[in-house]
Formats: sequence, C-alpha cells, structure tokens
Amino acid sequence: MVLDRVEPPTGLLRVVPVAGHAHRTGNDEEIRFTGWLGLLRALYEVTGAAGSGAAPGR
Amino acid sequence: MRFVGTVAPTLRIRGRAAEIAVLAEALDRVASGRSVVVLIEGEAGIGKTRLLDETLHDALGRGMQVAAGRAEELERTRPFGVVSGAFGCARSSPDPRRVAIAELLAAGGGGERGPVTVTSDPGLRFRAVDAFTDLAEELALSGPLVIGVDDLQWADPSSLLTLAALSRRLAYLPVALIGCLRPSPRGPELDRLAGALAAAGACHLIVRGLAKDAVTELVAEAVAAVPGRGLLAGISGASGNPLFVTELLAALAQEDAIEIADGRAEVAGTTLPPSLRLTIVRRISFLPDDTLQTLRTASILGTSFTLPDLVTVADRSALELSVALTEAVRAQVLEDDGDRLRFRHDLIRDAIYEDLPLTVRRGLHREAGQRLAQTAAPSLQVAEQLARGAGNGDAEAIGWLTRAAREAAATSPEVAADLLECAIGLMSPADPDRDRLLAERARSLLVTGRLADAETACRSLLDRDHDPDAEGPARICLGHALLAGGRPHDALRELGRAGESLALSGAERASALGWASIARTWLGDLDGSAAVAEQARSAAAAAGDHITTSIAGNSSALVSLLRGQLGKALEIIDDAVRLADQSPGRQGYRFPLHVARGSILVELDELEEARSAFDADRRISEELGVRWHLPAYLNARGAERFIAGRWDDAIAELETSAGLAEETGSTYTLAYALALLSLISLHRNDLRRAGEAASAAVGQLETGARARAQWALWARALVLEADGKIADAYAALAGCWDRCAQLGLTLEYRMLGPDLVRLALARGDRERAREVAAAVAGLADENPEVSSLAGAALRCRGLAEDDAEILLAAAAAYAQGPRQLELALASEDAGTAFARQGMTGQARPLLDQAIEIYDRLDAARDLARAEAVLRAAGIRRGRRGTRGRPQIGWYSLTPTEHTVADLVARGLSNPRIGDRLYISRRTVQTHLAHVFAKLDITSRAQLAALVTQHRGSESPQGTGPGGA
Repeated sequence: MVLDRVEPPTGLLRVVPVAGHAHRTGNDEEIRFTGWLGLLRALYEVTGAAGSGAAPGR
Repeated sequence: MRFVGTVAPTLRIRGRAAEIAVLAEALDRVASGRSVVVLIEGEAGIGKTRLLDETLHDALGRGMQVAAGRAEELERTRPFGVVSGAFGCARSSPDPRRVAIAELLAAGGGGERGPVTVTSDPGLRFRAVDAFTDLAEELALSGPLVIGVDDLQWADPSSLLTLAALSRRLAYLPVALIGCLRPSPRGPELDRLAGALAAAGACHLIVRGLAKDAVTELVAEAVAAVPGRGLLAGISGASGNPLFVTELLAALAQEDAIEIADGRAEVAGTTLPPSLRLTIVRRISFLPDDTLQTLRTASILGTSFTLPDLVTVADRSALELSVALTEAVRAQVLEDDGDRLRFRHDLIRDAIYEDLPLTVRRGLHREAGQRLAQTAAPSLQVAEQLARGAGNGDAEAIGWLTRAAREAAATSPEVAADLLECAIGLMSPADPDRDRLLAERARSLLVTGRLADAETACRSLLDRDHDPDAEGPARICLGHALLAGGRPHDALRELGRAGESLALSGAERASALGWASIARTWLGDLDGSAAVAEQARSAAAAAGDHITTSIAGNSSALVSLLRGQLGKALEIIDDAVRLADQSPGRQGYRFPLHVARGSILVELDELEEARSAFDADRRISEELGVRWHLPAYLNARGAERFIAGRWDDAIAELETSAGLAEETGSTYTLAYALALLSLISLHRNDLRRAGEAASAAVGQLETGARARAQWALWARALVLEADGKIADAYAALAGCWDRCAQLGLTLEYRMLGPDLVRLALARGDRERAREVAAAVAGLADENPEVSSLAGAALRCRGLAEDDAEILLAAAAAYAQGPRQLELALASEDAGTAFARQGMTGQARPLLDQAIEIYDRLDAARDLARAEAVLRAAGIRRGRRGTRGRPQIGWYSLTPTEHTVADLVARGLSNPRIGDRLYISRRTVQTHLAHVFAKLDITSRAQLAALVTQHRGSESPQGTGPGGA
C-alpha cells in the first residue's frame, strides 16, 4: 500500500500475485483509493471479502 | 447457531429515566399554565435528539402545540432559519401570520441593497424578533406551546436572539422552550442565549454516557439475545454513547460478526474499529457504489438537503438518484422527512464528509456552488458552497459572499459581518475592493452593537495606507461607533475628518455633518451644533437625503430646546415633521422626530399633545420597522409620566427603557432613565434604591456624554442631601448648575433651580440663591406661555426672599399646568412659610394640597416632611388620604396594572394590550412582571383566575364577568 496522505488515507494498493494464492487477473494490479471508504472498498475488491463490484471514487 | 444480519432499526430509549422525568415535569408545568426552559447538553450521539423527540411526542400526545426546529452546520448564515423552520413560517403556509413573517424576512433579504447604517434600517432584525415573539405569544394564549430546537450550536445568530427574546417575553405563559446543544462549538451568541436562559431560570440537563446496565439492555434488544462478555467488552469502547453502540452493532451485524449460540450473542473473528467515525465508515462501506457516491455528494450539501439541490449538484436526474437514495434510507444512513432528506445523524454525515480529502471536498463545494448559482438557489447557499471551495483570490466566491452579506445585512448584521469577513479573508491584500469591504464589515459590526469591534476594524483600516474611497465610510462608521459609545468628542474628530475626504458622496457628506451636529449637541456646543446642523440640512437637501434632513432638523430643535427657547424649538421640529411627512415613503421618519417633538411638548406642559406625539412615533416606527431608538422613546414616555405624576407608569416605562438599553448597548439615554428612577425612589423614601440608581446614572456619565446628564447629577445631589450631607449636596448641585450655565443649557434651570436655592440658603449662600432665582426668572420671561416656568421662577424667588406670598403665587402658577410634584413642593414651601409666620389659616390648605398630592404619588418622604410641618405648627390635618397602597397582594396593583391584568384575563396578547393602552409591548411585559411579583403567581392562567375572583367579589350583584 502506498500512501500519499494518511488521514484520510489516499494512495494506491498494489496487488502482487503470490504463488499458491488465488488472484483475479494473475497480473500486478494497482487500485487507487481516496478515504477510508475507498480503502475498504479496494480491500474488499482484492480479498473478495464484501461489497460488490469495483469501488468508484476510491 | 445463527448470525445476526441486521440489528433492530428503532431501539427503545434506554437508561434515561431521570432525564425523561425532568422533561415530563417540564410538560406538566406547561400544562398548568406556567413557562419553563430546559437546555439539554451532551456530546454528539449521546441521545439529546431522542430525548427531545420523545418529549415533543409526549407534548403532542397531551394535545399541546409543538414548534420543532433543528439547526444545521451549513445553514448558520441563514437569518432566522431555525425559528422560521420551527414555526413553519413559509409563504406557502395557510396561516397568514406565518406568511407575513416569511414575507418580512424575504423583504429584508431580497435584491441588491447597499450596506445598512444605524440611520437606515437595522431595526428590521428587531421587527422580525418581535414578529416571532408575537406569533409565539398568540399561540400560547390559545393553549400550551412547546418549542423544541435541536443542535443550537449550529443556530444562526438571529434565531438565537429570537430564542433569548422568547425566554424573556413569554414568561408567565404556558410555553416550554427546550433546546439541545453540544458542549462545543460555543460562539458568543450561543453564550449570550445560554446566559439569558439561565437568567430565565432554565433547567440545565447534562446528558452523559449510558450506564453499563442500559448498554447491556440496548445491545440485548438490538441482537435479540443476551450479550456475551466479549461483545460487551468490545462495545464498552463506545463509552455508553448510544449512537456509537448502535453503529458498532450495525457494522458487526453487517459483517456477520455477531454469533448467537444458546441465546447468547458474542462477537466473533473481527476487530472492532477504534473510533465512531471509522465504525460508521466501515458500516457504510458495504453499500453499493452508486449509493456511496451519492452519499459523498450529498454530504457536501450538509446534514439535510432537498432532492432538487442534490439533482443540481450531482448533475443527475431524480430518477437516477432514486435507487441510490432508497438504498441509503433502507440502510438507515438517510431519513426522508417528506420535504428533505437528512443524514440520520450529523456524525454519519461528518464521517462521510471528512473521509473526503480536503482538496476533493473543496473541489466538490466549488462545483456545487457553481451549479447552484445556475439555478434560483439563494445567494447564501451559493456563497456558503463557494466559500468552502475557494482559494485565495477567488473572485467568484468573494462576489457571492459580498452579495449574500448585503442581502443578510438588514435582518442579521452578525451574519453579514461574518460573510464579509470570509470574503475579505479570501482577498489578496492588494485587492482594490478590500478596503471598501472592510469598511462595510465595520458598519455591520456597528449595527450589531459590537462597538469596540467596529472601532478596532475602522482604526486598523484607517491607520495604514488605504483606498481613498474607503476613507469616508470608515471615518463615518468610526464616528458612529464613538458616538454610540458615548465619546462625542472623539466622534466629532472622526466625522470632521470624514467630511474632508474627497471621495465622499454627497449623501455621505451630509450624513457626516448630521451626526456631527448631534455630537456637538451632546458636548454642549450648542452654537456649533446649530451651525453644523444648518450645513447638514443644505448638504442633505442637495443629496436628497431625507434621513439627514430629519437629523439636522432634530439637532436644531434640540439646540433651541436646551437653550430654553421652547416655542422656537417646537416651530423647528414641526417643520422637520412636515418635511418627513412629505418625504418619499416617509423616509424622513427613519430618524424618530416625534420623540423629540414629544419631549419639547412636555417642556411646554402640553402633556396630552406630547403623548399623541409619542404615539405617532410608535405607529410610524412600527410601520417602518425602526427600532434602534426604542430606549430613547421609552425614556421620553417615562419622563412624561413622571412629570404628570403617574409614577408607577413612569417606573414601568423607565425600567423597560433601561433594560432595553442594556440589552441593545444603546445606552445614550440610560443615565436619564436611571436618574428619574432614582428621583422616584427618593421621593418614596427608598433611599437605598435611590442611591443605587443615582450612582449607576452618574457611572454612566463616566463612560461619556449622555442625554440630560444633569439629571443624574441632580439625583445624586438630592440623595446626598437625604443622607444629611448638605455641604456635599450643595457643592454637587452648584457644580452641575455652573456647567449648565457655562454651556447655555438654560432649560435645566427649571428643575435644578429650586433645589439649588434651598441648598444655597441652607449653606448661607444668599447671593447664589438670588443669582439662581434671577436666572430662572430669565428662562420664564423668555417663555411666558409656560405657566410652570413662571411657577419655578416664583418659587426660587419666594425661597430666596423667604416671601410666603410669592411662594403662594408660585403654587398658583404651577396649578395652571400639569406638573404634580412641582405643584406639591411649591404648595408645601408656601404653607411652610405661612406656618413659620404663624399664619396657620393660610398654611393649612396649602399643606393639605401638598399632602394630598404626595399621598397620590406615594411620595412617603415628602409626605412625612409636610406632616411634620403641620405638627410643628400645631395644625390638624383637614383631610386624610388613603395613605398609600399595600406593597403586595391584589390591592397593591396600580391602576394601569389592574387594566393590564384585566386585559390579560380577557386573553389579549401583550402587543394587543400595548395597542389598547398606547404603550409598547415591552412596557406591558414590565407591568406584568410587577403584577406577577406582587401577586406571587407564575402564570397568566392564575392571573385570569384572580381577576375573575376579584371581579366577582367587587360586583355584589353578580353582574360582572366573574359574577352570577
């Protein structure tokens, strides 16, 4: 996670495929986010934990 | 085992039994016809709104009327926004009273207007406050009324002012005023309201976190199971804040993190967020993308918003937004109250809003402002949005802020000052309009009564290199501030320098001259005042400035009055009145000429005509919305009542005047009011109160020049005499006389003369006594049509020469006029002189006459003195009066108080009673306060019952309304 700002957090989440772990594309991917909402939405997207679809405005 | 997917949406109120009991008791009190004020204070989310809602619901259930309002952070600049909302004052209202208020506020805020000045119409704000209090009073007269206002910390200054006025003026009516507020933020206006409410006996309810048991019950109800230790431990981080607790539970439920087994709920496999804000963020992070985006946009509009505004700002159709909004309502993030959509709590909106990075927020605000500007959105709303999105030098934001400030100026100068401050803050120091706006802001500060702030603002502008165009307005504003603060000398200097400014408009130049003439009058420079008033008159005529024409006429008339040329003073003021009558829209009456005319008529002993003049002022001022002179108006009426011997009515007018002067900071006539109150107390032998009022009156003089300042010194001298300090009293009064002589304030000889002659004789200074008598004779000679001036001259001469026959002539002269106290004093002097010579036959009727008047005036001190003369001369009193009223109980009420009580019992409101009795609604309130104190009651209902009871007992045939 690369943070441009801490509070509220703004930056990008770089997703790196790791052997043995499922990953949506299998390639490196960067997801930009703004705010805690954006960060949570980005994490949900990566982990598939909750929410639906991509998080706009992140 | 099962997981909790949602929590119960509306939880019962828990752990607030004590608070609910206090509020229920408040409603009981209102139901019994009394007033009550409750302030509910506590941190955000603690449950204040729930308590208020429950109470208002309870009130509705009891059949009470409810006016409920809520302040919002982004609407702090909307004048009277909160009270308008609470009372439903909209143009679409079916109630014409509410429509009238909406029209009044719209008239104040509509169109392009120049900056207000103390001579234009700062009174619109008072007019609006009066309109709201009148409406609330009328509602309360028809049945119990509960006014509930949430989030007072965000309320606009005008609404806070109105609520303070309601708390003062609705005492004794079945009204509950319940306000909720957070401990912070706490601006000066809210502090003033809290002070006013505390003075009105407000109950202060501090709401703290729920106790552990209550939290357990709350959680149990939410999850429909017994909460386990782990869950409760996690929830304990919410410190008993019910909103935090429910948001935590909702977040946990949404993540399926609450597990129920064997009827016990536990938290499983998750970490609780560390703060309420993150809890809220976490909960809503599960909402669909479109809903989240819509909520972010909505948060830019504030805690509540209309769908059309959101459509404008989001640049999407209502149909497109409806899905997202429905989802937000379903998730309990938004509520729909029919007219507006509202975040369920401020903190939910704040969490979403603050989650946007500052630059994004600013960009969104700016965009919102620009989009709203394309619609018919109010300037204030556009300005508020643009200001939040503006960077330094943003001309668009500055322009809207200035426009909004000018629109707000008439009804809410505080808001105007704040908006201008915001605009100025955005300007670069080199902005060519900056100094003009600084001067304009100073003027708004002046109108709000923040004299020191206005002075500082003007000086900081004038003391540096500045725009020549701002020079004149800033100097005039500074002059006003100094004059209003009782520093006419400094004011005169600034007004003079304003007049030298080349960039001054014709009207500004006239205004500077007009106010300079007033400053000179206050300084006792009568010649200078007359000359400057003449210049002001010419300049005003050239500029078509009708207000300054009135100011100039007023100054010229006052100069003649103070010089003792009463007939000439009346001629001048009558001319000014004629011009004001002919001015377009009667603009000339924005300066209260009829008050000066009434005061001149009082000096001419034409009391009935004076009362007509005061009433004309009351009507015209009401029509034009001029209020700033109210303390002076009430004072003038009080002085007339004093002269006429209607002292109880005088007290009511003067106390109202003094209270209003302190409330508004318009203290120019306060010394005069206090002096008159001191004199009445002195004659009534209440030396403690007389001394306090005299000291307060003299204290006023120490802060600057004041109207009829000599009366304060006169009152103090008489108090010193009553304390047996004859030498001090003589020195004080002689000093006061000499000052009047030096300045040419000949008018004051009438009142000061007889007492100074008495004291001079007591100190063996016969020469001074003769000089004073001669001076008073000169005043009388110049005004042969005024019999009381002849009386004063004869009384002085009679005392100086110890001539009973001359004193008898003095009493006869006074008897031709309306001045009761002076007639009694002259009669007593004559009677005493005859008694001293053993001529008891001549002495007795004179002393009887004096005693009869003293009796009527309740002038116990004078009465005792006159009776002592009778006793010393061995004369038995011919007739005996009623020897005063009792201090408390039904028979202690004065005739006016009886009339007011009777009208209250008939259900009339204060304004309507005022209309009937030709007095102000504030004076009615003072009379009522006296009535309630004397009868030891706390509600109008109790008063009505007493009136009915006494009507019955006073009409043995049972024909009265309370009879058979």
